[in-house]
Amino acid sequence: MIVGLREFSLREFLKKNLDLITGIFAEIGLTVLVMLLSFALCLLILIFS
Amino acid sequence: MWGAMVLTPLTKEDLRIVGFNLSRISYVTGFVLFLPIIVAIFFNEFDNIPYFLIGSAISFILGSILYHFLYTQAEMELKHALVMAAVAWLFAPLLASIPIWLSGSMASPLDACFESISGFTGTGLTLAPDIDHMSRSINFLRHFLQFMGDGIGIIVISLSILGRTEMSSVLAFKGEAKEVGIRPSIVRTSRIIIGIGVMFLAIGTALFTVAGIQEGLDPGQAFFDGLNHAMTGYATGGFTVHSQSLLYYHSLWVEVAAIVIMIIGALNFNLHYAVLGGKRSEILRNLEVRVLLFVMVAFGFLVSSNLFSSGLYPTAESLFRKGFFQVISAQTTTGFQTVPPVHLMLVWPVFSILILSLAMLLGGSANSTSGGIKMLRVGVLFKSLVNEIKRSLLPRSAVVVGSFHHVEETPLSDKIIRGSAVIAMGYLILFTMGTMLTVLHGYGLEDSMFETASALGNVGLTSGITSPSMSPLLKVTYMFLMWAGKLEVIAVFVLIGFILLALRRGIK
Repeated sequence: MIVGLREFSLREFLKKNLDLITGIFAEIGLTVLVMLLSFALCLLILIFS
Repeated sequence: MWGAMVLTPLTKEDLRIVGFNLSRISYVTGFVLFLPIIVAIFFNEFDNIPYFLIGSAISFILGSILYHFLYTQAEMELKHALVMAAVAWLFAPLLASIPIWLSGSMASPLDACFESISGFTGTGLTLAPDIDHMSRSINFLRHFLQFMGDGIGIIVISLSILGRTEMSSVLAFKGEAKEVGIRPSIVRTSRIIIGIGVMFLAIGTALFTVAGIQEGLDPGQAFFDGLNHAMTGYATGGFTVHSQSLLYYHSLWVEVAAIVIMIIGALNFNLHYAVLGGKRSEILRNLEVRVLLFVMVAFGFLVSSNLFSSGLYPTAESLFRKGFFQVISAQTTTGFQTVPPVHLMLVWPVFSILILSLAMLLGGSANSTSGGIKMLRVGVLFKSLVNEIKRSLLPRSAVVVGSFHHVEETPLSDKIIRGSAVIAMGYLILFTMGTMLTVLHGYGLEDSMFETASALGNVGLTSGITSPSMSPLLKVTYMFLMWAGKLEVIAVFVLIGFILLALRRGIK
């Protein structure tokens, strides 16, 4: 197990799991998009009131 | 056609198949009730350990009895799977209510059953009189029930650990209102669903913990609260460790963490699998995501405008944290609240309450942890409506062909439209009945619609009707609605048919 840890390479890990990591960011990005859109609409309500 | 249909009388083998498959659910429940013992040991709540042991032991013993006395190698048919799912979603909560009742956290056994059904179905309505002073291990169990019951699914867990033959497993999936199709092997599909759930649980826990520390909680408390809220947020369940729900924290960061995990929980498992497998563009092409986002933002805008014009929330931040947050919580069928129930009932305008009720009834994505009619069905029904209009306007010889994008291009067939319409109609019938029963108890129409939509859509937002003091009949009604909503109505009607058939023709 210690040997395994010594051989651990962050670059290799990222390369192997690139789809998974970018997928997670895509899903979190979607939620951020919803929040930004929502806040922009709240500002619009105030501006046009 | 119906007149010519002959229903086969029930046989003892039918009951044996259902009972034998229930043994697996009993084992999984025993495991779920055993795990909080670790939390009890960690927080020195040794008094609670016997309650978990008793609940767990009863579950394992019942499972063993069912396994040994009803052992069969017969394959399940669809009717068995639907009846098994319907009974499992009553059987498991009943077992889980044992430690909750024994701990003295609830006022009566009925309240303990209510809490347990609310947990397993991922609803979040609570009858606990004092959550703030509830022991941590029992509180953890409430949240854990939501994660295991609704976040992943007890049948999914039973398939991944104690998997049966492929055909039986596929049917069991259907019974729990989940689609098959991520992977050819159902056991592998179950394990992928569990893997996705555990991964987002870790991400959610990290987000909530950082937000809690940012707000001044000590790291241990922030982690405990974060873990529980990540479990119920991903499960779109809505139980919280405080009686004031997320309003307790008065924290923008906690609310942002909640929005992230609520929306992710409301996305389709097939979509998760596609996006995490490299098909990132799917997230914006998918019909269901488009409908979900459009409805969420449109409803948020309507509610926020209404709240602003009523003079309740004068700033953009308060409109976002109250109006939009409550709409996202309702639409994803989570039920986290940043507004006290009494405000919803007495201060919020009726228009906003009705929009929230509609959002709860429509719900999140199909094949996700959320409840309600589901956005895919809403999208399909809307597209079929547009097609019907086109068909009426075009010449008689014109052919209108419809399709929609859901992971892959899917033709808009009559079978899909009929399936969507039947489930939507079932929800509307139960919604009407639940609302009428609540009104009969003396509550106002809009509050009755709100609370019924919350129970039926497995949401958990409350206008204050759900409380330990409400009538036992209403408690049982909401328990039925939570159960029927989780099973997407059909399995409930099949179970009723199963019972009626047994009563009319007996068991051969």
